[in-house]
Amino acid sequence: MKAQCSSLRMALTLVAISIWSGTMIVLTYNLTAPLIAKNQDTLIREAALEVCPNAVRINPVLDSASGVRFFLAWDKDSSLAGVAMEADGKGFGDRVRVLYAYNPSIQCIIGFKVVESKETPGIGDRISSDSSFLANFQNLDITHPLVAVKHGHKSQPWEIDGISGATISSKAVAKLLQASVETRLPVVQHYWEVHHAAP
Amino acid sequence: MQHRSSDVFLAGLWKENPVFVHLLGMCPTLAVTNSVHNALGMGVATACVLIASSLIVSLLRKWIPHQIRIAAYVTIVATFVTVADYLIQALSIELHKALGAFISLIVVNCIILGRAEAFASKNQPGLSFLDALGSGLGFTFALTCMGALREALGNGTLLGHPIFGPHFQPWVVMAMPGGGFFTLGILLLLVNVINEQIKRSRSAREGT
Repeated sequence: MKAQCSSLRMALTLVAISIWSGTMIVLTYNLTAPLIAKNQDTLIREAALEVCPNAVRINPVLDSASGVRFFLAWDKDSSLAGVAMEADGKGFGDRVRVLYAYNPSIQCIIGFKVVESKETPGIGDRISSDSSFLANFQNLDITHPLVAVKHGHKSQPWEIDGISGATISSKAVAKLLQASVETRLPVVQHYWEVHHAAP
Repeated sequence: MQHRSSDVFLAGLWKENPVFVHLLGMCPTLAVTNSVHNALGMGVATACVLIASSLIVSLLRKWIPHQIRIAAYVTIVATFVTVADYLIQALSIELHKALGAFISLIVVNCIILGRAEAFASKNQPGLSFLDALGSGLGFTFALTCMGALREALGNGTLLGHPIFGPHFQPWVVMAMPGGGFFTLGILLLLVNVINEQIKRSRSAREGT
């Protein structure tokens, strides 16, 4: 450019580009929002089916009074296999979102799957892959508050055997599960009894 | 300066391949090429952003004052990256999860800003489109080569299909960060050997 541009023109050009930019983003957001929501929903449904051992069919339930959402899972004999619920909280990096399965008859968590996490690759992200950590959630008693303990120090059924090197992520999982259990169980219990009595 | 459109297109694909020759965009090249699926996704997403932003930069090249061009280009690129981010989420959450933070990082991919500054800001939309298409396909090609090698050796599969039979022992390191550096080094060596051969045979032909 040969001629010096006036500051006004520069500012106006940037304003025009920003307006264009904003419009593009809002348009795309509005166009894709329903599809993204649908994809998220499929993802959660698949995870719910996976997280409940023996489940072959699930149906989502939304308790309108409390706003709690969960899935009732049925096994192949059409009897209740468990309840899949979401839990989320802050991890070491960003938000950690998990799905877990709960069986009210034995008051235990019977399945667990990380849906979304940005934990440190190779360290904190082992909460979704470490087999000895995941083994905690095959049978985790929730009649006591959940706590994460050092790796190899689990002695009670409500303790979570942590991952060494990923203490913060392990504790975060215990904390977010505990929070979810406290708010959701009273609601879920009611539904479970109704459906258990008349499947 | 006159450019022939076929030259412009082919330059980005091989002769001036952004990864193999310019060594630009190394961050996604090393980070998301542990499988063909991820590499293709990243390549296509970057190529789309590159083409769209090159077109817009070229169309607006007479109106954007020189002093604020970088700010304007970054805004344009960032817009298309955000759009691409939503589109990928709408198409496949799995791919979005696999690419993770690297989608947002397309904004700072030097190939895109490089092509905008070096080519699109000085040439007509048609040529800029071809240039961006060439560079974008060249980038995708390079990433896919990396992805194919790393997935085959590190996992024994190609696009998820096993290719070596049940007795293959995967070289886990190839799927890890280190494998990215090994593969890139080997591919750079190959590309340079090929180019050297081409140059030699051309000068031999001219000599006779």
